[in-house]
Amino acid sequence: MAAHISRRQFLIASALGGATAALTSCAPGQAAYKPSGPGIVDVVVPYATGGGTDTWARFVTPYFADVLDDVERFQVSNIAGGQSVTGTNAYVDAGVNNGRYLLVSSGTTYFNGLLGKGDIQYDFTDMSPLVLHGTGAVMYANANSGIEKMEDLLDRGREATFGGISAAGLDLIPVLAVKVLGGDVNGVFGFQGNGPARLAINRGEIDVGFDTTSSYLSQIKPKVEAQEMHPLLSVGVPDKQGKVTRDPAMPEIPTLEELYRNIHGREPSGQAYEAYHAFVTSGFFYQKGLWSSTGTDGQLVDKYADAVEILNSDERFIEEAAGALGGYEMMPGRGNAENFQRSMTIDSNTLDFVKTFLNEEHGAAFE
Amino acid sequence: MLEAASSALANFADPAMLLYLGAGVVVGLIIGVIPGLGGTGAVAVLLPFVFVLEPNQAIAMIIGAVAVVHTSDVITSVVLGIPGSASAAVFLLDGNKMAKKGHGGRALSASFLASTIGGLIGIVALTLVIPVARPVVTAMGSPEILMLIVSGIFLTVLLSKGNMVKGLLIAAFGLALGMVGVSPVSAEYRYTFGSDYLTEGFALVAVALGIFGVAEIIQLVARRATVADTEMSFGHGWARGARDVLRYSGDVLRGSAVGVGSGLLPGVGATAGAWLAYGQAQAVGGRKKGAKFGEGDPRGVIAPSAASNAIESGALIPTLLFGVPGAAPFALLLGVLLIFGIQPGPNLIEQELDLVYFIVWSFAFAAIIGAVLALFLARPLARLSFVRFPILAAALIPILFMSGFQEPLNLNVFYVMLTLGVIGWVCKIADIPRAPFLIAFVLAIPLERYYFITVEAFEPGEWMTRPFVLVVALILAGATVYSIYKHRKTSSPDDPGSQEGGDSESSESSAPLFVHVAVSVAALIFFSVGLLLAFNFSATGRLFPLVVGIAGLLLGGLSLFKDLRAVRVAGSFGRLSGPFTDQLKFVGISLLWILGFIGLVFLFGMYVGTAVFSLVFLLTVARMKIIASVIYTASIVGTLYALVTFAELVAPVGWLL
Repeated sequence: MAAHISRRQFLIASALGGATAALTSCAPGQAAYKPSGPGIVDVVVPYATGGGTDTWARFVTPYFADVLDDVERFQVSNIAGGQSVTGTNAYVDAGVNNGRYLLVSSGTTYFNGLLGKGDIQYDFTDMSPLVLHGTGAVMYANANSGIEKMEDLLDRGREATFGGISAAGLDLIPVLAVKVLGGDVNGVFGFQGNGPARLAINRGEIDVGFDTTSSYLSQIKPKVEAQEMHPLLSVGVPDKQGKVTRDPAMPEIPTLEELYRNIHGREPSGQAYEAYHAFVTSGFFYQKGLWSSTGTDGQLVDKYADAVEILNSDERFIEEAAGALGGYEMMPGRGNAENFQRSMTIDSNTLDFVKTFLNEEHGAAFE
Repeated sequence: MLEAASSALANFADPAMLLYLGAGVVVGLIIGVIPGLGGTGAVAVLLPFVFVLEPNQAIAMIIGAVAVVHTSDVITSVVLGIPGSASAAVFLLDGNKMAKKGHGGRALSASFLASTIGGLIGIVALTLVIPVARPVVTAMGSPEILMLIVSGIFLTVLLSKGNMVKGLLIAAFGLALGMVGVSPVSAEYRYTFGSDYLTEGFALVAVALGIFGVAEIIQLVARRATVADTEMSFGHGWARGARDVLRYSGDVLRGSAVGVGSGLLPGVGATAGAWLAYGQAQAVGGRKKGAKFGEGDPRGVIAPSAASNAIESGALIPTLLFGVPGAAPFALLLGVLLIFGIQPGPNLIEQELDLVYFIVWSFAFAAIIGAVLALFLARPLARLSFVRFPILAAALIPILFMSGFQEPLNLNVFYVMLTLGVIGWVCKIADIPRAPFLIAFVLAIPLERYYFITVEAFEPGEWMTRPFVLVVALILAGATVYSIYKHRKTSSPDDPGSQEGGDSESSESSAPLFVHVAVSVAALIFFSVGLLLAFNFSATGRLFPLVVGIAGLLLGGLSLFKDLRAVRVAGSFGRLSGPFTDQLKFVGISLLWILGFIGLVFLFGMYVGTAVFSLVFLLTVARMKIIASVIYTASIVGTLYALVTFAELVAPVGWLL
């Protein structure tokens, strides 16, 4: 082959290259909504396959398909990215509110919206929740740290370490709780997940951790019984009036509200508590949800509310779902939406206060 | 304990159980062979069956698949020089070199045998460790994990055999690319430029396939050559591989030990584990007589093979005991267990010891069945390295890009893979080792994570004096001093301008000097921009980008200095002529073909784009007969369709279709 490249060859090559480059210069988006077909409801999960939110969606939806007459099956599609912002934006962008296209959300999705992290194009306050499902969570301490109850942690101040993933996610709740009670803790963030953080607490590197109910019951509870760990606080559950009460899954652990009353002798109040309550409500009480876009018809909301009622009284479902739902009943969107939406409308002063606190004390960055 | 172990074994008296296990193994092997698809893909194939089977049957099937993906992963790395997965990229160093010399069979049989033994050693370790696993896992803290990661980065120095300064430079490049996305501590977006696609960072599979796989393709496609340089000659290679394993049994043992260790510690990961195993084999055996690491030394295949399976068995411990998946596919196994109401945790050992041992036995059986089947599978596949490359490329290009697409599900990944392919090709011709890049890329975020956790949770005097930390630090310091000393001694008498001896990855025609100068200048520009942007980040998010940027600038400066000195010695920047121009032309044509493929997919989506591309490519470049081309194209598209239908892969959508 000749080593020399002629001018003509060069021109042809550049023309070809230019044409192809022009052709390939913009990648087609992948998230556009394409209905899977009649009888099939498409569901967007804004996380990768196999995560907690994905598992929840894949577990729950077949039961709804059984109960709902006009739904043959649900088709889950995962649109991961931007800590669930990418997929949620893509869902909202399609603007479908007829029940053929739904979104699965998680606590982080709400938090990103509240804290304005990333390019948020969604607003949960005017979307309709069809199904909501919550979980409890517990703050606990390694016994070797000498912390047996919340008061000990408050006495310890910044000498005590809390380990978590990031102060801009669900782990803002425990550090905010300590703040509400008037204390301070040294937050060690950067763990890959709750699992590795739990391991670090087991090793005694970290004094205090925070986990959801299912992880607490399987991983920490045995150690509490062996006096190796001590529970400090549970986020509790809301009762019918929206008042926070002890979690029936762990009735021995006090809530923040109780602790506050014991320490300060009055009901909790103030910016820190307002923020705490709002974040716990969206982050835990209503952590997972099946949502429909703005302008959803009341009939669809009712249909899913009835389906939730049927499932909640179905022995087979209760038995099969015990593991996947972590012992918490699913809730209909009807009747719970108002409570949820109130938590999404914290005033901007309170939000600024929280962002400043998380940024200055715990190194979380907000734009 | 023995009772539980034997009652768990009794499960396998049921032939149905072995059948499910075998089904899992077959799926695992097949998915493993496909470049870029690994354990997670295999589990996804099996997931629909999980819901209809008995718990034990489902677990056996999943374990069967997970236990063998790394066995068959090796095949494409060795035979084609295209990594079967990110962790299998390590086999490109010696395994692929052996195949090029016609010893592909020997490399594969050594690998399969070593990985089976590694898996079994891992199982024995697992069995012994289960009763005392708690203290073992909890003894290794964040400072120890940090030190392991640091030694992984150090390994890059050890592996930088070609051009040492540029090897370090590309390691810094890997660290910088690894930092794109969410920062681990402050949770802010770094280097994403407002793009949705970049928020998740670059996907490991796409990066590994780009820098190794695409680079290989653009070099070979237009050349119409085969992977192997020699004539077809398998001979007694298969038996020789087995003898190699016997001969280097020490490497099998050490490789397995490294594997179990990295599996036990969540955060180190399979890719780093495989490279750590390679690094230790080279450190121990590299100075012995007859060692030719990087040029086809069987130990370079044996040690990481033993490690790759041992990692999977080691990773079972944190998965089952602490609910922390030690390796990616185990996150899915965890999900399966939860569906059956089995909660991993401390109680599992006390209450469900039978189940734990059942999993252990499944692993052992799968490792053995897998090795036997892989041998059968490898024999026909090994012949692929004697097939003209364009014929392979018609299938490889679509499959590589399809695999790279799976994690981000965004077509911008095609650009990333292509760009990295070009960078990988430049590395090949400029004699820059690419292994440091991959290791640094994988470890960038873990390094940052565990650095902050360690300094936040411990006093400096506390963590720096822990025994393991001290030992590793001493070893690293000793290795550094030794290599600097040796480097001085060997390089000082030589011409200072010549590149350091030893060719790590390629024997391709070396590039003229101006290519080296261009690489250095490009690096200086890249790191200057990175450094400037780093000042916008928050206090914790800024530290690592700053350090990497400064290191990159220093290395880039040093590299440019050396290049210019070489230019002065040579008296010119080198000329654009002769074989180098030929090569440029080949690569240019290959790039055009790949761009054409990308354009077709962007327009018509994966299926139609692939069909058009493959057909035209087979007819014009591979010069196949029309009927054969049509049949072959149909089977490529059929394979893609099967992957979408059965393995839950997603096919990219184009503008029109």
